[in-house]
Amino acid sequence: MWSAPAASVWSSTRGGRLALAALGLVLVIALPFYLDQFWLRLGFAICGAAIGAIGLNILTGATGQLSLAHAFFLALGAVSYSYFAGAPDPTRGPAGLGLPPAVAMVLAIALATLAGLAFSPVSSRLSGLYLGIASLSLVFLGQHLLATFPSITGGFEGRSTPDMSLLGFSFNQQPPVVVMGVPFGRFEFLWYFGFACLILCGWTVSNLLRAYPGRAMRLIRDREVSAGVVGVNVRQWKRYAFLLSSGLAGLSGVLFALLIGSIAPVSFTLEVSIQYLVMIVIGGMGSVSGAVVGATFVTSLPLLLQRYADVLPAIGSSVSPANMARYIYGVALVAVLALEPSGLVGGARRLAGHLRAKRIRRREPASGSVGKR
Amino acid sequence: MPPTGPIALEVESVTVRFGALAALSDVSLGVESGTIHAIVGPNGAGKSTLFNVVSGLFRPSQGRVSVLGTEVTAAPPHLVAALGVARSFQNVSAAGTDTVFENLMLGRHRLIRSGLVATGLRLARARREEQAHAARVREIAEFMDLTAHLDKPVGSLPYGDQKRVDLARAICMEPSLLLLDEPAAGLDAAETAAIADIVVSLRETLDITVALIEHDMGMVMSISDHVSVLDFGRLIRTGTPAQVQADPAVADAYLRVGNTKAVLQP
Amino acid sequence: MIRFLSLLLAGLSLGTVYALVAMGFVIIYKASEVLNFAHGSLLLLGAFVVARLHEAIGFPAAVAVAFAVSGLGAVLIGRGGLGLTRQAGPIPLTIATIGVDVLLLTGLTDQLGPGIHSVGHPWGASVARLGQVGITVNRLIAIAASVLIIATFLLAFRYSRWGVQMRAAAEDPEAAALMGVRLSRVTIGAWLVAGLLACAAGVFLTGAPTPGLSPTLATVALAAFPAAIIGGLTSIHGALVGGLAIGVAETLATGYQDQILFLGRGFGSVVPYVLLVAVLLWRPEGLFGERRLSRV
Repeated sequence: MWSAPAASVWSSTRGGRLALAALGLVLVIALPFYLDQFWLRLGFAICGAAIGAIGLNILTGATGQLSLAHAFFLALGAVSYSYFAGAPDPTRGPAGLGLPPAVAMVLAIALATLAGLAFSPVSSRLSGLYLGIASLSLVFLGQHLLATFPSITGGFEGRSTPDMSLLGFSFNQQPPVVVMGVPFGRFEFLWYFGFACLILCGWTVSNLLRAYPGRAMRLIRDREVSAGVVGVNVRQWKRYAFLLSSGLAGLSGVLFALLIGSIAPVSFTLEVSIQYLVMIVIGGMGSVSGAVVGATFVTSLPLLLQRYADVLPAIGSSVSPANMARYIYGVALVAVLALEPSGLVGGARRLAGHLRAKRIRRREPASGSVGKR
Repeated sequence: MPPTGPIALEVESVTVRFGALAALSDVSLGVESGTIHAIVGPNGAGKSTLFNVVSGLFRPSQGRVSVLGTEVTAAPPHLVAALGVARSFQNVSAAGTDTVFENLMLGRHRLIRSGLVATGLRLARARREEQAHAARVREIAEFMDLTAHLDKPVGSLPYGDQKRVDLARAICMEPSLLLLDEPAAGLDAAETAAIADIVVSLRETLDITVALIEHDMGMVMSISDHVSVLDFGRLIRTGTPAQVQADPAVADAYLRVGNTKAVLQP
Repeated sequence: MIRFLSLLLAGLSLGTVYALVAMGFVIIYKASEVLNFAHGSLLLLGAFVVARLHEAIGFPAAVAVAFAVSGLGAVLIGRGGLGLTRQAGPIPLTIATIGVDVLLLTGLTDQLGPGIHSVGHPWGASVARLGQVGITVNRLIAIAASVLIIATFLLAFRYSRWGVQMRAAAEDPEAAALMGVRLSRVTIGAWLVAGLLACAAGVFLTGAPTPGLSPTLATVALAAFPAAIIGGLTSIHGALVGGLAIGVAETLATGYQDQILFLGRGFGSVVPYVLLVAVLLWRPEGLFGERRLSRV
């Protein structure tokens, strides 16, 4: 059921893939000129979630280590960014260090990764299932810490998040910058920033999963005993997976904080960890595209349901959009596991493979059985 | 029988206990470099346990194991592999959905020098190294007559081919010492002969030392330089095939278990 | 000293209830090799049924119905798991239980609405006195009932036909099947028992620490999962020990939280998880867990 990065779903030729990538790039660049804020925010939210999902897909999808601690590392990234970049004036709410936002972001990711390193003596020695429960500890510890240090975290009410700015250019330009007749505000810049981060992370992780790191991790997932004998240092690789996952979660947390503009403990509960798990299962475990597809599905669902609540039956009156989303992805989760365990991407790949094989068979009808079966 | 060359694998007085049961009792043997050394015995004699101890999967309650001059008694499996020990498995352990090529590339893991950053960013040297390993894997696949199957999922191949993939993966590790756990199990006469040929040519062309667990006496007697016989976790006899065949204690061990087919006649 | 004793007693009470949950959790793991993340919502389901029905049909009848519903719910999940691709491995199955948990929890939370609901315990909030040590009647009954249930369960597990079959199946499923053990029946039986245990725990957890039923009950029940792991996921007795340890530790930490304020207010609820990490650092398989020697 687990998918390994294989031939692309969309195209089997290099030229085809490049063309699609170019098309994607054009869309990313052009869309902010046409979309309203709702869609820009959704796009940015998807980028952030996808990065987090990619991280979890490395740990749980590829290496087989079930983890529910994702919310903890998201929180760490979000809170650290807010604190490092926050204004240092304690009379106006929670204090901060006043660092440049880009620096704060890098530090936040580093902190999340270090936290992953600190937890790895526990995580690398545990089997996949035990880690599932042990990772709960981090989530509740995180909730406790968020509430206990209000000077940093803002306590139960949370705190606001400073805007991102790169090299002195703030994303929140007042008055807004006008580009080709379109006013560019915070969310236009965040859209590009988010996609840039997503493309960079996705490409890098995809390279890792296709090469020897991915192979080692998948062997740990499928036959852990054989992994050692083949020369894979199992503990070390579990640690790498955990570090990569927590670092990406940290980045995702920063992006989340930028999206909402503030952070509060309620944003980092166990349910959030579960949502990321849902993303990678529905999308497809073990691949970057699976993470992106899953993140798109889970992130869009409640927002779209809310936006179109008056058009869809049953929403608003009896069931809130949030709960409706939960029902939908709960059912989707069980359905995927029962029917197509390799997720949407895995299923699409299989379908593409079948269609391709059919095309080949049609082209060579007289050759008897094609391939060994 | 005193060894006549450098020892690739040295097992000294190894005892392995599972609770009250002793799977291996005070077993000592030495495998000379460049030889093919068979380990035989009735089922349950402790042969796979011995391999598991050497691989680092079990730690012996007593005794020492040294591989290629380095003591590995308490070493974890990946360190034993790093010394140049490769192992094939009784139950083919490859992940069923991966292609043959992916499985063989797994064998290259310990030889890969590129770090995570170089691999993630697809730096030139990482790409070059990956290509070099892929080329070597194709060479070995050619040698093992697997070229036609490289892009197929391992699980879709017939059993005999899966075993060859497993053996090929072990060879991809560029081992100095190869532990083969029942390579001919489940194979017909032709496939067994093919495996026997491969094992011999591994010794000839790549100078790999081979320790092999096998029940097929014909194969054992024809290709081995030395044979060790285990029974009930104890070493009964080590010697050349002729010496072992002639030893009445060995015949006893097999007859007692009723394994008449394996006795005496090659 | 009095304070310590009453906290200890309260802790043991909470601990026995946690043990009920943890033991059910372990039983499911032994039978299906899956972590049942839906356990908390099964617990909530039982309490929910009592809360809804106790006014109409009285407390004892409501509890009986709750047992039936929880048991049935557990069996349905277990059956679903059997139907699911078993060879996919324990992690997909575990994630499937998470999916069920999301659905159940959302549904029950929706139905419950905000606020705290009465479960209608006939003993109310009265307090008993043992010498100078005070303890709520609910906690007292919880200990007594839980001990009774646990003892019955342990005896059944050891001596009854079902118990022997269960242990055989957990040890070596193939051999057990060859000896005539109907594996699917044993598995369903395990889930049923776990569901009943969870329901009992739900009835008691709505009396203490905080009286009444609110959706946060499922989170409270989550604390029993570390108990199961601490004891070693394959050991029923370990779950008992783990449950008691966690119950006592949590209650003491909450009771003395003024003394440990530097760790943060409300540290008591984090204690089970801290304990879990501490034990796992020392023994990655849990205190009584067996180290798996897999055959290569």
